[in-house]
Amino acid sequence: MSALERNDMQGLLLSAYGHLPWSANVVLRIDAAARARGWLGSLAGSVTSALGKHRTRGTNVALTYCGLRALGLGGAAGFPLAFVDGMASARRARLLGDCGASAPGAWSWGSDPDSVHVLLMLFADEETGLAAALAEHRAAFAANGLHEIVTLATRRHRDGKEHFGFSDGIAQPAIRGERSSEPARRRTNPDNDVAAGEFVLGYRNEYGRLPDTPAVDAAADPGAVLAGAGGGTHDLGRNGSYLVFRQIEQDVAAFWRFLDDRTRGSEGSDSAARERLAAKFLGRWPSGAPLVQAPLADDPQLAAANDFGFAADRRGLSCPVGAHIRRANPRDGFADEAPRQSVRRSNRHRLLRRGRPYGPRIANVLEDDGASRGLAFICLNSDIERQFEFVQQTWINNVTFCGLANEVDPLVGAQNGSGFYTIADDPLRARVKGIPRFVTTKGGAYFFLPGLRALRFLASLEPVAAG
Amino acid sequence: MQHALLRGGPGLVHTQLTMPVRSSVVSQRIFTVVVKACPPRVADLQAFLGALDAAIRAGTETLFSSLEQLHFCSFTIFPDDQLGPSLVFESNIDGSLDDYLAALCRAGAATLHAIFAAGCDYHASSPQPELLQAYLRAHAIRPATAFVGNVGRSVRRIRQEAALVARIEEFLDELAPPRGTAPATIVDNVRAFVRNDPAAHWVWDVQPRLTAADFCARWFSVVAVAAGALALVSLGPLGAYVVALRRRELTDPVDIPGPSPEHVQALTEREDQIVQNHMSSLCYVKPGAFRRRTLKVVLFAANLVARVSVGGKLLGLDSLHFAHWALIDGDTRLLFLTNYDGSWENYLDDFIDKVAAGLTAIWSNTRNFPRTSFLLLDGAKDEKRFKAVARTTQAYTNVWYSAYRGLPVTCIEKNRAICEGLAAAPRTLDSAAWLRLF
Ligand code: HEM
Repeated sequence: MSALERNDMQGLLLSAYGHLPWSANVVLRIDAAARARGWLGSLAGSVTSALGKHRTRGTNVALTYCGLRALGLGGAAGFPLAFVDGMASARRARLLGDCGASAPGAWSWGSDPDSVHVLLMLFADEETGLAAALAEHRAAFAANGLHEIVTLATRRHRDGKEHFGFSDGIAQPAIRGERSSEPARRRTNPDNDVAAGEFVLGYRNEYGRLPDTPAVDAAADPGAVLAGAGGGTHDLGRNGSYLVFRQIEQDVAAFWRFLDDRTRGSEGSDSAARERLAAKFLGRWPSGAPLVQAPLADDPQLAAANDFGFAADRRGLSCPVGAHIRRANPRDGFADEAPRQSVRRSNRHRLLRRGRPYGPRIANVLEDDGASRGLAFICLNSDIERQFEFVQQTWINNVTFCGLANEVDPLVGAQNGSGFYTIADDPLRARVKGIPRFVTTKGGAYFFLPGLRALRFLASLEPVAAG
Repeated sequence: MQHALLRGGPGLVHTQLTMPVRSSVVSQRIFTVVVKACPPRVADLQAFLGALDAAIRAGTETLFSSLEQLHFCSFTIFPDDQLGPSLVFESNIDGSLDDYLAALCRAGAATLHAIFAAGCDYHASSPQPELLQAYLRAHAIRPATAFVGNVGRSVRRIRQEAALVARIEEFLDELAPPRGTAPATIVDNVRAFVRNDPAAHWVWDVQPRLTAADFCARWFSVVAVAAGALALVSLGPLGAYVVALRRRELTDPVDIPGPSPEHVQALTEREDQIVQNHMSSLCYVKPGAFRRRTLKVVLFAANLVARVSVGGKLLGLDSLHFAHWALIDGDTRLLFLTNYDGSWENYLDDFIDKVAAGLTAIWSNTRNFPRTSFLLLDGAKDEKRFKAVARTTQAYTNVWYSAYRGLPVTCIEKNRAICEGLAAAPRTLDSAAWLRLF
C-alpha cells in the first residue's frame, strides 16, 4: 500500500492530541467570502499537520457543505449526499434518531444549516494557552467576515473519564501499515487493523477500492494546487476526511438515579450494584476494564485493555449483546457468524473517535446541579453513510440489533421511556424496563476536513459570479 | 401504446400462478400482478395510491388488515421511457390463492377498481369482484425465484405467538427467579401460567416445523441443485460458454450516471418508518439470448437454493421476510420485490457480505451492473457501484402494507421456537436451552 502523505493531512486524523488536553470547538458562519478566504489562507499556514510533533498548540479546521459554498466553491462534484444534506435535514434526523427533545428544531445551534460553515478546533497544553489562542482568533473574526455561532470548550481530563464516569478514548481502530497507529495496535490484535481508506480519502478502503472523492475542474485550479484526478479534474478530497460533530448533552444525574432506583435493596442505595448495572450498560467498568475480561468486578489492571472479542461470549453472559461498546463495534461477535467474517463486517463500519467532554464535572452523580454538560462527539470517516450513520442507525438505535427486540443502546440510544435492556444470565435473563433518554442532541453538523493542499486551494478560490 | 406481451401472451400466464413454498404447517405464496398503466391516468393513480398509503399508515384504511392471510402487499408504479409505465401489485399470503383473491376482491372491490382503472386494458365500468379476480389472474406473473423467511408461519400464528411471548416475558419479569433456580422449575411455572391463559389454548397444538417430510424435501433440494448445475453445463460446451461470457463481461457497458439525489431522497424518505422495509426494483435484461438464457438458469438454481433454507435464513441472511425475482415483458425485464428488516444500507451490505456471488450471477445479466468475472465474482463486491445501480433501478413503492410492523424475522423465529418448546412433551424439552431463548 502507499504510505500516507502525512505532510498533506491535518493532524487530527492521526492524533487525538492527548498531550494537549485543553481544547475548544469554534463554530463559525462566513459572512464575507473574500475576507474569509484570506483568513483561511493565513490559517492554512499554521494548521497542524500529521507530520511531526505539535508540542504546545494544535489547530485544525473543517467546513460544512454550506461553508464550502459560502467560500465560493461552485462546481465541485462527488460530495456524498449525506454531506450535502447536512445533519439537520429531516431525512438525516430521522435516520440518526434525532427526534423529540433531540430534534434539530430544538437544537441550540445548527438547525439552520446555512448558519454553520466552519469548525475551528484549537488544542493547547495549558488552560492559559487555550485562552490565549482563542482570544487571538476571536479578535480577528469580525475583520475576516466571520461570525462566531457557538464555542464549545472541551477538555480531556487527566483520568480520561467522560461525564457518566467511564474511561473514554480507549478503543480506536489502527490504520493498517501506519506507524502512528502503533499504540492502538499494541493494545489489541490484528483484527483491529483497518485500511487507511476508511478514514482518509485517496487510499484503498476495506473493499479494496478508493473512496469516492470530491473533484473540481482542472480549469478551476490553474495553479495546480491540487493533485490531478484524471478526466480533466483535480482531487479536492485527497488526504481529507469527513468529520462528524455532535453536541450530545448528558443528564448524568438522571442516569445514575435511574440505575440507583433499579438496584436499590432493602437497605436503600447499593453503590456496587449500581455500578455493576452501569457497566452492563456500557460493556466496560468505570476504569475501562472490559466486561468480557473482568466479568465480575472492576479491575484497574485492565483499564486500557482492548485485546478482546465477543465471540467467546456469544450469549452476552459477561457483556450483554446490547451494551454500548458491543453495539458500537460488534467485533467478532455477530450472532451466528464466523468470527473472521464478523470482524470483516464490523471493520467496514469503524470510526476514529476524537470527542471530548464539555461542561463542568458533576459533584454528586445523584444530584442534578442544573449545569449543561456532555460529549462533544467528533468522529472521522471517509463514508458518512457507511460508517457514522450506519453505526448510529443500524447498530446503536436498531431495535432488532443481533436478535434483540424492542431495545436500543441503553446509554446513548434514542430511548422513549418504554424500551427494555436485556441482560443475559443463567438460568434466565434479567430485563431492565422503562429506560429514559439519558442523552440529548443539542447541535451538530457534517464537516469536511480538507487536506492541506485542499485548504490552500479553497483559500485561493476565484470569486464566483453572483447568482 | 399497449404492449402485446402484457395482455397475457404466451409465456406470461402460466397455469401455476404462484409458488407454493414447502412447509408442514401453512404454506405461503407470492402472488404478483403486472399491468401496463395508461400514461394519462398515472397522475391520478399516483395520488390515489399516495392517499391509500397514508391511510394505511394512519390506521384508517383497514382493507388489508382485514385480510387475515395477508403478510405484506405493495403497489408500485414503475415509469419507463420505452415501455411506458407499469403498475405492479404484490401479495405475500397464506394458504390458498383462491381464498385470498375471493376475499380481496370482495372486500376491496371499490379500491381495486379505482386502482386498476388506470390499467390500459381494464374495461370494467363498476367494481365487480368476479371481473377483478379474472383481471388479476390474467395479469399474474410467475416468480422465477422466491424466498420466504418464516416458512410455515401464518399471519395469525405470528401474531398469536408474539402476543403470547410478550405475556410470558412479563410473567418471567414478575417471577424473577433467583440464581440457582432449576430451569425445569421455571419452565413448570411458565407452563402453569400459560395453561391458565384462556387466549393461549392453541399453543399446545403447535407442531414442530421440521417434519420428516421436510427433511426429505431438503435432500431432494440438494439433489435438485446438482441438477441445476448440470443444467448450467447444458448451456453449451462449458469452455465455449466461458469464452463467450468473458468476452461480454469485458465489454458490457457499466457506466451509469447514478441515481439523482432527488430520487434517492424520495426513496429514503419512506424508509425506516417501522422495523421492516420494502424495495421494488425493475431493470432491463442485457440484450441477446445469451444473457437471457444465463439469467433463467441462474434464477432456477437460486430458486432451488432458496428452498433449502430453514430457520428464517437464506445462506446466513436473516432479514428477509419475502422476496422474489420474476422475468416480465417477454423476459426483457427483471423484477425484484422484497420485504426485509432493518436499514437499506444494512440490507445491501448483508447482500454483499453473504450472497454477493448469487446476486452477481443474477444481476450481472442486467444492464449497467458493475463489472464481473466468471459470472460470480466481483460485481456486487464493487460496493459503491452496486449500491448506485440498486438505487437507480429501485422505484418508489407507492403503497406498502405489513401485517406485523414490529416483528423482524429473527423475532418471529424466536417466538416460534418458544411456542414449539411449550408444546413439546415436557420430558423432551431442554429447559435451560429453552430459557435462553428469552
Ligand atoms: C454521550 C454520548 C456517549 C458516551 C458518554 C459514550 C461513551 C463511551 C465509552 C465510555 C466508551 C468506552 C471507552 C472506549 O472504548 O473508548 C465508548 C466506546 C465507543 N463509542 Fe461511545 N459514547 C457516546 C456516544 C457514542 C456515539 C453517538 C457513537 C457512534 C455513533 C459512539 C461510538 C463508540 C464507539 C465506536 C466506541 C468504541 C467501541 C469499541 O471499538 O470497542 N459513542 N463510548
